[in-house]
Amino acid sequence: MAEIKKEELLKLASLSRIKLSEEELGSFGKDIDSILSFVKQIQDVGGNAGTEKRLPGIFSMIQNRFREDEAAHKPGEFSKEILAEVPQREGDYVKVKKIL
Amino acid sequence: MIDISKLTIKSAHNHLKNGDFGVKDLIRATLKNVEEKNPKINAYLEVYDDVEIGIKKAEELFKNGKASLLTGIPIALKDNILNKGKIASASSKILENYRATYDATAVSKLKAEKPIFIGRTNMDEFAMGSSTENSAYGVTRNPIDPTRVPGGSSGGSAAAVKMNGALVALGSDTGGSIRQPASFCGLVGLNPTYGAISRYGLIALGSSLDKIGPITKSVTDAEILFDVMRGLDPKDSTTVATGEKKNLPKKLIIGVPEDVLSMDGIQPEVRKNFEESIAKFSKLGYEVKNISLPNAHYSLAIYYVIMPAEVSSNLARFDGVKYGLHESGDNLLHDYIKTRTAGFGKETRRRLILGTYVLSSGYYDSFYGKANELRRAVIGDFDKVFEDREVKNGVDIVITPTTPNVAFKVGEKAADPLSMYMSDILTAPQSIAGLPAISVPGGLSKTGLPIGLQITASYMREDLLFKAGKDFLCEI
Repeated sequence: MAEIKKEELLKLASLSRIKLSEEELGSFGKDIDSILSFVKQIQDVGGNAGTEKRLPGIFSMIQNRFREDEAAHKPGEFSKEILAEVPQREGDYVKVKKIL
Repeated sequence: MIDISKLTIKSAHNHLKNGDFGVKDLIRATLKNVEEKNPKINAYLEVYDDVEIGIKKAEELFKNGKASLLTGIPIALKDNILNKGKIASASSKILENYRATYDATAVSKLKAEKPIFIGRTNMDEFAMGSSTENSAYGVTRNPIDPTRVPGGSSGGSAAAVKMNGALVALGSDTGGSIRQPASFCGLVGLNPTYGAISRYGLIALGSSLDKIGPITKSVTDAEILFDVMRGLDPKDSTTVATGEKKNLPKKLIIGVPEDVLSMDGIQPEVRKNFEESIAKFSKLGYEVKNISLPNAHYSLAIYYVIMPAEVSSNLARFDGVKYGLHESGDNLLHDYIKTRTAGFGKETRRRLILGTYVLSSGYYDSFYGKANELRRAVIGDFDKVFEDREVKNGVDIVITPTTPNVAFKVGEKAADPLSMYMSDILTAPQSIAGLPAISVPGGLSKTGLPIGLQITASYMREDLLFKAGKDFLCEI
């Protein structure tokens, strides 16, 4: 398997919304190569990836549970606690930088 | 002084009921152990400052004769399980100051019994690790030998119980994170059926793999906690109903999967101890059969595709906007990048990269698709061995060692992530298949380090795990 190139690592880091240090750009390439070469054994097993997406066993016993499509709780019931965790706020608004 | 190491939930409850000691005495004795041992072991990241309130409530219940088994029992909580109003950091810098805005369902069910939550325990960041060395808040050490790791990722919870800083603890298991630390610390660790205990309020790692479960000194204690925490939860659609009374067979049949045991890396001493455990079960009247799980050896490779894929998706929520750390940049995108770069530790970053890789176009089918296909094959292997034993020659339980080796030295595997990942080689199959498994102490190595025995049963058959575990440990 071709080694993960620095450019590829930079691309993956950007997709993951993180920045890798110079040291990590070196060591992560090596680490991820060794992990992928271990994980790659699954590709040596015959057959193509099936189209069946559902898992059997316990996963097939799980059922969606629905509730009525209406407000599940009173407006403002949890606002105070939740807003207390917001790092940047203005009054009762979550503050973010301009997007457009 | 009360000797916490000698107490189980039931014996402590009886002492409290008979007035041999009060809840206050029990908690004081527990906190004294924490005070003495935590500076060296680092099991707890925080000891809660409001235990007095809990003590009062619990003592009142005893006075009124309304106490339940868990009333007044000191419990440690892993740092990724939400306890309203308390910090839950998942041992990450990105959640350093995050206070839970609600209780995990497992916690609210326990709270109804009025136990005493002592504090929150150290873990590998976001439960990513097998040694509790990946915490942003320092390494946790094994109370049996502080030069060694307690296992992970629930290493703080296991260490808290082992150092008698709690009677029992909650952990979470994604690929072995309850069973492996229980094994390394000579304790009992239950990884329940997927969905048996609600994941609501558990900080997500791999959502198709994550479970909450107890770490205890006895199988009976694990059963008591499981019974309180399990059940359908409207807040977690993946919960399943368990606990239905089923008939226990008079004589249990054990399956021993030689193809799993012949995998590389199992220490001879662990193997020898395992043979002794089989002999013990035979003596107890269990029938032992050789079975085959031909795809189980792929489990760890499958796990290291599916888990990082789920990590890369689950951890996308940490953006510095809604809660947790915020680092300001030039624009919103730079806010995200600066926050996540400052907040996530090395192993978390490594798995984010790995997860993004296996999900990226061009690799999706060959990694993620293939892993899911093989996941179905592993589930199929277990289904087959647990088939009706009368008609189809199935078995009731499967046993293997919990880990390929005993607790390793702090720092021994830190530089080589793949060798660290191999710690989960015997626990990954059950995680992949969503099966319940329990680790019980199997004995000691020549150097006095615990070796765990892992018992696996079919879906929702925790009852078989409890029966076999109690028989094995001679619990009445």
